[in-house]
Amino acid sequence: MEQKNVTDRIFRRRPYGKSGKGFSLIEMLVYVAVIAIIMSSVLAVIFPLAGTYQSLIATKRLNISAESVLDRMLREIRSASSVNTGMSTLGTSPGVLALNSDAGSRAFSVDASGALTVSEGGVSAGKLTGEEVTVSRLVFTRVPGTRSELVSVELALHSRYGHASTTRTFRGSAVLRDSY
Amino acid sequence: MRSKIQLRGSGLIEVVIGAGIIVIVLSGLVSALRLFVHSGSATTEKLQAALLVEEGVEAMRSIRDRSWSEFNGLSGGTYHLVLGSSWSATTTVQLIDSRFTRVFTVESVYRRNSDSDIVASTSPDQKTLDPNTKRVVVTISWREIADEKLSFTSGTVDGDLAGFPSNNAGNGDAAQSFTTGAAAVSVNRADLYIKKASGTPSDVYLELRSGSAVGPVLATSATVLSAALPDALTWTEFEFPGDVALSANTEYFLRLRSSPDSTVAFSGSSGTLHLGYGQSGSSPYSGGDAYRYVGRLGNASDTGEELTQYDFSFRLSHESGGQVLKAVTYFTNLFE
Repeated sequence: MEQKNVTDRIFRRRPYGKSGKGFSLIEMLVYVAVIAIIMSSVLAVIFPLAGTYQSLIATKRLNISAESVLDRMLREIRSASSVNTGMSTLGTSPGVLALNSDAGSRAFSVDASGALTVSEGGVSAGKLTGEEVTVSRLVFTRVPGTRSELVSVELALHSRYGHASTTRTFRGSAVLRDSY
Repeated sequence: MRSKIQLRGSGLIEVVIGAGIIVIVLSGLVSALRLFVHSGSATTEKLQAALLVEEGVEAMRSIRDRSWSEFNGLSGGTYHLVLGSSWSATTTVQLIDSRFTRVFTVESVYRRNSDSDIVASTSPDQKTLDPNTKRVVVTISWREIADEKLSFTSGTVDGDLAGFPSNNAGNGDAAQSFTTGAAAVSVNRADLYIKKASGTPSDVYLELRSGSAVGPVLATSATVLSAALPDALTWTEFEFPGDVALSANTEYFLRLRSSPDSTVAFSGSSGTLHLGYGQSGSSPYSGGDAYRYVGRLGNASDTGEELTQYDFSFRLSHESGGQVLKAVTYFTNLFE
């Protein structure tokens, strides 16, 4: 009897109308309604999750690029002896900064794709910004002085991933230690 | 009998409990991701702040190199730094990127007579003021991640509707009204979904007004420079200097202003901004309406053209708690 009940369930050969066996139309409607509610709430959660993930990635890339660009730039400015004003574009965006130092010349500029590039001794040494991170503003300001020279950097980076995008401005200044 | 009960499949109660568990797990996941995003953007702010602190120290070094007497003259006060053709100190508050405040102090340095080590001014040891060394403290403070209070975030743009400010025609400002919920809220930041549609538009700021688009001004945001405006639709921050208390169930107005004023024809406003907006047969945002041409041709009582089928996207939020980053360094009179 027990065995027959199981096959009946599997093959839906169920007697109708007996309570406790099979589903009535009302039960089916209730179940479908419950599943619909669950599915819609699950979907409502999953769609924003995708957006959240995208903005996480965009922010992470922005942070990594900003850190590596400014770390390198400020280090090179600090170890430089002077700014090559003829080769530099100062005060406007996109700026170019050419530095003279004991280790050879260094130059920072924005390429056609919006990436920040560095060159060492006139030879390109690659990009400092990461994937899908572009420079939206780069201004160098030179503050010359009788005893030392300072360079100020204003860098706005734009990071995009999927539909998420973020732009932040980073600022840094350093005194050229070799300019004393 | 027992096995028969198990074979009956899941009952409605079990389905509901199962659904409940799924919902709890998913909502936990969502709040975890929210936290990640917030901490990600908090990392960006810490990086910005760390660079600004470092810049402050370098700027002080530059001032010291320029003139020890100028540097020495800054002792005792609290100053902001401003970059013109060179770095200089100012008592005018400088809000950096609408978010960071950087101040510095230059303090006297005492040295212990016995070994010339620097000691605190409160030290009981025998000590002497060193006139050629100064202690410099650079402090950056900023507000924390926002807690969103009210928003309408459906934003597309077709370019014609929301042009602002009109090119030198004096056609006025854009505005969006909103209604608070059942509870009073306090806000200190608004975000608009905007982009610049031409090269160099005017600098802009946001007003929070009560009553109408030309009603009393409750708060005026810090100015956002046109250079900082995005080329693609992006949420752009407008920071109010203090908390603005909004009553429950009340309509308020956000009005975007420009400098020079867009409501005065040929005032010199240049270039156009576009605002992201939602559109439907009626109002897509039930709490208010979009307006354009507010204050046409300098008419202060012109409430503008109401755009009943449209709403500009906005977010209002409250940022709380101060974050602080500090650098302490000593400078010596090397040259004079």
